[in-house]
Amino acid sequence: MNSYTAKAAFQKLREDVRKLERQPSGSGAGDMMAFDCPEIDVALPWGALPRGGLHEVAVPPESPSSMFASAAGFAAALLGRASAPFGMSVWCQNRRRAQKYGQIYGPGLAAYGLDPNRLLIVNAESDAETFWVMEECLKSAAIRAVLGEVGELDLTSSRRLQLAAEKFGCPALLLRPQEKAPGNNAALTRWHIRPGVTAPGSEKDDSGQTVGWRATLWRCRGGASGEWEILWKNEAFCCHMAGAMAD
Amino acid sequence: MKRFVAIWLVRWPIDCRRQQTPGREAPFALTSEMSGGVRLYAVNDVAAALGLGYGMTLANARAMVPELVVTQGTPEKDAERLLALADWCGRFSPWCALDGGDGIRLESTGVAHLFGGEERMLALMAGEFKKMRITARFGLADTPAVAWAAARFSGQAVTLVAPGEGPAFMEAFPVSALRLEGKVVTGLEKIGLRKISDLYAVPRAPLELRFGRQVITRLDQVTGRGAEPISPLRPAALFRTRLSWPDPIGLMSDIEIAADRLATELCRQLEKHSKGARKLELALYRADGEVERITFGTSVPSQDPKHMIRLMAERLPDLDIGFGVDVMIFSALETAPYRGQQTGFATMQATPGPASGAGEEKKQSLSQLVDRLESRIGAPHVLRLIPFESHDPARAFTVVPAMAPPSTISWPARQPRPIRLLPVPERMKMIFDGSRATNYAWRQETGAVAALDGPERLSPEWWRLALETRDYFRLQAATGQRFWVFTSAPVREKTPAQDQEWYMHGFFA
Repeated sequence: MNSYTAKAAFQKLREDVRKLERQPSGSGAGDMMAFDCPEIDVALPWGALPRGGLHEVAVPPESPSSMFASAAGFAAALLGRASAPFGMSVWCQNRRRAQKYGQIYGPGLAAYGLDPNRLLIVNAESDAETFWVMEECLKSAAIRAVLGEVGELDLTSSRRLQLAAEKFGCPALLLRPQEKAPGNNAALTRWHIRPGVTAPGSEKDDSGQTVGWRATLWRCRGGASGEWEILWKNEAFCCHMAGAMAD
Repeated sequence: MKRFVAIWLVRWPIDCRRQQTPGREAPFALTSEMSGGVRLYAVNDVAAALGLGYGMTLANARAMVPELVVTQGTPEKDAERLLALADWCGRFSPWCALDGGDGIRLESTGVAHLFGGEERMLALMAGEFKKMRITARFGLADTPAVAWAAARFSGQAVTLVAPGEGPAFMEAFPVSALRLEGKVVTGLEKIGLRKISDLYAVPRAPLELRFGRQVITRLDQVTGRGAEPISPLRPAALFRTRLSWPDPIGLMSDIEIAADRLATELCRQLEKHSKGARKLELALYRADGEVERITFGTSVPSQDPKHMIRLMAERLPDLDIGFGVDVMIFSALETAPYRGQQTGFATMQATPGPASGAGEEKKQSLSQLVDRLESRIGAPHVLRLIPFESHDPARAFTVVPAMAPPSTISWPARQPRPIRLLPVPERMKMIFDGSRATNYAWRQETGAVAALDGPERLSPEWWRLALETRDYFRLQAATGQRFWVFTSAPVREKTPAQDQEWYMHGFFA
């Protein structure tokens, strides 16, 4: 009897903690977006990325600004998957940072499943505007996925975005150049993306491109961190050196 | 029957700088550089009573009234403020315009009933101007010409000329009440035509022969035979709604409620005529003579008051309502036929499946989202990228408005293209060992070159001669980044690669 109540109490506590941590407990296939790459999906506590959540994609701190494009590519691939097959997605850039990091280039987006007819581009003036745009888009029934390029991010803004993403079941992706050491924020998963080093001419997909990343999941709510070498081949994620890099 | 109001601002430049006026008792004048030196530009009541007036030289004036206080006038500033005041008069009528340098003209056809009749409208105007401490006289008549004369020559603050009585009313006035040139006035007076009634009696042909077309035109404008349309400062909207309060409201929450009522009413009007609004304007007329405006557009014709309110709500907090607002006007500046449903985006959202009803709803919410984004971020910054057939990489896509019809072209998949492009290519350095590139330097970054794939020669279309032909390369750094770099195509093929100028243009993922 005693042990039974203790067990129930534990069960209840776990539930409460889960609620407090706001982990999406529902795991219907519609609420998730999978990498479709078993090595990564298995390592995630949800078995995939939850749609109703904030996910941060950034370059590792103190890396050259040219690496930002790799993070952008990874984020674009996620955005393409999140809005597939017919959904509308939004990419919010910052016009102040255009010359420093470049702006997204239409012809280069095709490889990530982003159809020009279904991608809305917003050029915001400041990070505050970007947050506003992201929140508006999350609330809208017309948008399947939102990506925002932001510089600094505090706990409050990230929490607002996370709550909105969760409430409306719409993924919010943050793409950050990360000029300083990363602070705390409320994102469910936080990724550091470096360009993958592949031997030239080793593995090419149909279009003759080799796109690869070394992705580090360094913060994952309710899960362990991990590191993978990912290739982007024929519009799909593909992990090689499976698990070898996971620590 | 049309009706016009003329407002004569008797001492406008003086009213404009009330702070500097030394007091009502002292004679005061403003001066300005005119032909032949410094002359009086405006005088106050006291100075006018002492015989001073516009155009008198300062020396003369000083001789006549030694105690005259003089300040430099600012005609340009006064004209600007007059324009602002005329704009503010939009609260009374959508058709308002400047009337010379010292007056405002309104067409009051069909608006007097909003104020409880013409008399009460004039009384209200006089009250508002008095509150702002502007000396003004008002005339209301069938034609702008009679209204103009009524305001200036009747000697009363408010003159109302009954419909049809304009010509008779003008009879007793001197010919200068016709807005004639000074030369013509003197000429007429010389031959004994001093009053307007004298002119009525004279045959028109000799009059025209001797004094020119102007006299006839002006006479016709009195009777209404000659048209004198008002060209309003702002285009008058076909659909507009208006709310006014006897006392100004200053709470943002009250203004929101009022905006809500205005939008509901406007949408009712639009619905009646099967129109949807494309461009809307909310004008807040402040009690202190300023106007605050919010203009916003919708990407598809709209009849939805809730949507309009939401668009307005983004901007309302930025407004400065001063001491309060006593008139609000909401108008649809541009309208388009309303078809009850959105088109254009249909194929874009063509979701095969059972949710066709939901698709319609989605389209609507998309257009509303776009409107909201555009009203806050600015329409040029909310867009889509559409492929464009060009070899010039900077022109390989065009920017279209977010709600433009979908493009049928998809991105060309011929060649690998970068995901990010610098708006302006930047100079970089390449170090060669023989013909092989070994190192690169760009901004503060330096690194070893792992591979340099290319070239891919991209030439602009032959009719765009100003652009050069470029050889693009994919540069892979040893650390993994991949760049899209170019060098201008060698004119003489023998120029060694290391002597070329290299530019950074884009980044691959």
